Amino acid sequence: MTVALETVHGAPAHRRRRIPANVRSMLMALAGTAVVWQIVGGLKLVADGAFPSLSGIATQFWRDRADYPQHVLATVQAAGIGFVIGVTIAVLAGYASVAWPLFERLIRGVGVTLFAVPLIALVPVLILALDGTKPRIVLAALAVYYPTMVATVVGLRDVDARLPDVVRACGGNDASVMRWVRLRSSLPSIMAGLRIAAPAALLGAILAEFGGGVRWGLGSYLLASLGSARPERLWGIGLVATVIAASAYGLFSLLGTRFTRTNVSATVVAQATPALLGDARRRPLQQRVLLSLTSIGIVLALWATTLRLLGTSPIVARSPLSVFRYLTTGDGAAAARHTLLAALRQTVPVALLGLAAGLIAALLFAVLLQLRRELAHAVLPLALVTQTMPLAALTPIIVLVFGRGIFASVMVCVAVTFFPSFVIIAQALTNTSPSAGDVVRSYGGQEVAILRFVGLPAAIPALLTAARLATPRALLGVMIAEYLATGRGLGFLLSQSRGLLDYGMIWSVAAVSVLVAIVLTQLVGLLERRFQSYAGA
Amino acid sequence: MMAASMETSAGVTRALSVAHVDRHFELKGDRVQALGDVSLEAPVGTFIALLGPSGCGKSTLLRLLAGLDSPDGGSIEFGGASPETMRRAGRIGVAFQDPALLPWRTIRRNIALPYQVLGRPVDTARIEDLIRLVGLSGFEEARPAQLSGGMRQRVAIARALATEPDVLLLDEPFGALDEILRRQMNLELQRIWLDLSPTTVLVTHAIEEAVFLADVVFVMSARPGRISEMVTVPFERPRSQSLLRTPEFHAIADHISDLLFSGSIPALTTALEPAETSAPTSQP
Ligand SMILES: Nc1ncnc2c1ncn2[C@@H]1O[C@H](COP(=O)(O)OP(=O)(O)OP(=O)(O)O)[C@@H](O)[C@H]1O
Ligand SMILES: [Mg+2]
Repeated sequence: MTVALETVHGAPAHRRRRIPANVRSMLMALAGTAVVWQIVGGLKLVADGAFPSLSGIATQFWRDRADYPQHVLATVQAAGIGFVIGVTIAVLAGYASVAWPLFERLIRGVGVTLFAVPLIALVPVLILALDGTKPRIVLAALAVYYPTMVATVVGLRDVDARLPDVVRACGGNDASVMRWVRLRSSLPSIMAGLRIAAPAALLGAILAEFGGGVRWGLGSYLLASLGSARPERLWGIGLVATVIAASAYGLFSLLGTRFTRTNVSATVVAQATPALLGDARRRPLQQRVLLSLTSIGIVLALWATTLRLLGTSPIVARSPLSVFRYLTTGDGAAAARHTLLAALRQTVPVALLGLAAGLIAALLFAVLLQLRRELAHAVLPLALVTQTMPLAALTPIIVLVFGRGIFASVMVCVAVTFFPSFVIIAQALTNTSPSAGDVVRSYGGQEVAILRFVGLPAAIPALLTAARLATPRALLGVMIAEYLATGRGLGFLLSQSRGLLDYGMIWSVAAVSVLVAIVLTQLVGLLERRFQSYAGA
Repeated sequence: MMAASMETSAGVTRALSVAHVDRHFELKGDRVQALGDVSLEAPVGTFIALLGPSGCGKSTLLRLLAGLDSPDGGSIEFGGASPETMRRAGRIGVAFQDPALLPWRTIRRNIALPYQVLGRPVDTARIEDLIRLVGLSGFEEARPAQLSGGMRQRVAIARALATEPDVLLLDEPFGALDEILRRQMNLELQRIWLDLSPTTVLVTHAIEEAVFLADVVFVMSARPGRISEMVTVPFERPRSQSLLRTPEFHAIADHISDLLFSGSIPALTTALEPAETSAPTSQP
């Protein structure tokens, strides 16, 4: 008995700290990339030195070392406060959504909006309505809300179906099930959500700093360096931001493993669909439409009441009604509409083009990977960097490398959509049942035939899921590029009307880009669900 | 000692009565009659076995008895109290076919769960007793993942017994165990039952297990699920392994086996296939 006990208590698996094999091979590939990087950069092979050598970046970093602490502190502090506020609200909202399904239905509009919103569109608006560090905090909190809320709902809802029965059999009711089963078993999922939310908070804070008006912060630092055209410094800031984002991600991964031994995949949480009309319960269509309209109304009401409560002058802070009037009946409404439409016509096609390019690249690469596994290790480090580097830091670098034209915007899209899409598609390709492959093989099929008959049919729904998740990112990427560099589209209109103090236009651009983002994600989501039901998945 | 304290708390009149119970489910527009006009009676402290082919509604009936589900027609009472009332008062203990332990809790804290759910002070001394009773001393601080299937099953039984329930409901608690462990567990269950003598309903596929443990065996048939026969088992307690070899035991087991296979329960011979493998003695 004692011997048995030793083995039972000796080495609980979750306390073990060992570097897994895949991490080790990734580290090795990372080192390889560094060498190539150094050579390419040192010889100024790319874009006239816009791709500097690692040693150049390190030297510059050493020279700037006195500046970093204050910039980092300012951003991390704002991101941290925003993170805490956003997470608190999101977890409470998730909890309430599970406890009261009607509440979930009513606040769904908020979730749908925050999932789709290109955060950069909110920056000027927040800066108009709030002062000091508040815009950063609020944008960080907004960035955190959706992933955390979804993770909470998924965690509370998807419990082992037998456990609620156990608690009920012991004399419990719904509240006891919540207390003894749901809360605890939701922790791994919530941790997975926080893992996504923490880098998102950083992104929010940096983006808000792009709005200007603050001296300290990585965003302000980036903005200043973009003007001074010093690629080494830009890269240094980008890598510092990447390290912070990666540490935040790692911290919550580590916390997550304390609660369960198996990690909840981040993509599982992120894949939950925000559908405005969809409903788990079979409600009649009229009722669903009514509920959806109400939930949209709630978003508008939140917008209006927040401004009312802040007491900002209505000239600067526009209500939904005032924006509507600005674009329909007000003086110069036609001109405003014209400007806005022109900008839309520049932004949306570029975003869609970039999205398509990113998805095709992801699909091709996932297929290639299926046939040539060694490739994974070679490309993962680069993918990892583009994945972890906050979009706000990545965009200036891409602009630097690819210039200020449309091509840079498309590249930003590709960079932000490629990796997450690749992960989802590759997962779908790998998860096809081996026996289905065996069937094809037994008729003499080769790898290519298996891919054609088994892999690709499985990849198409995954591609659409990837598309839905990537759409907001693509739009955000294009708008950041426009805002910082390219001088066209909605992003540029945003910064331009700030300079002109055209408050009506600032709010209109924000509202319209949110609207466009929502419509696009909902359309892609609809396509995805259509295809899923067609494929019988 | 425990039995005495139970009698004073529960009174002696809590007989089980199930009268004309119906339960059906809607499945994609189809109506599945899981139970049709099920009736049975049993005095307090009886050990009942429910035996029948797969899909005949045993689990459905047990969930109704546990107050986890309500019948579409008919009534269920424990000496005047509804299953719902009994469940809310913590007077029912259930062990499901799957142990369903909370994976994040130690064994000790898993057994303490019913106290916490009911908002009662945790009776640590009783939990220690129960852990000893089910033979898990030394594993108090282990987690479910570190135990074997049979050990987990015993934790589930200990948990079901934690609040000294008047009614113990067991849904194939040994279904996943091998034959040897199963017999051991049967002996342990008998020991525990003799100690506490709650009114017990055991759902099982195994004829031998039913006859070995029960005072009364209710044989069920399917479509719709109903009680087709009641067989009284007269053997003295405690019953030992050697009982399994007596002709009297075999006579009863063979009788039940005949009932399950006989033409009086049509369309059963095919449905019984899976049950057969887990109950070797069912072959006449
Ligand atoms: N929640 C439910 N929804 C729909 N049908 C159900 C549900 N629960 C049970 N049924 C149906 O009721 C019938 C009886 O099921 P039940 O689980 O009670 O059988 P059982 O006797 O316990 O079978 P087994 O021995 O295989 O466990 C089956 O036909 C089953 O399909
Ligand atoms: Mg069953």
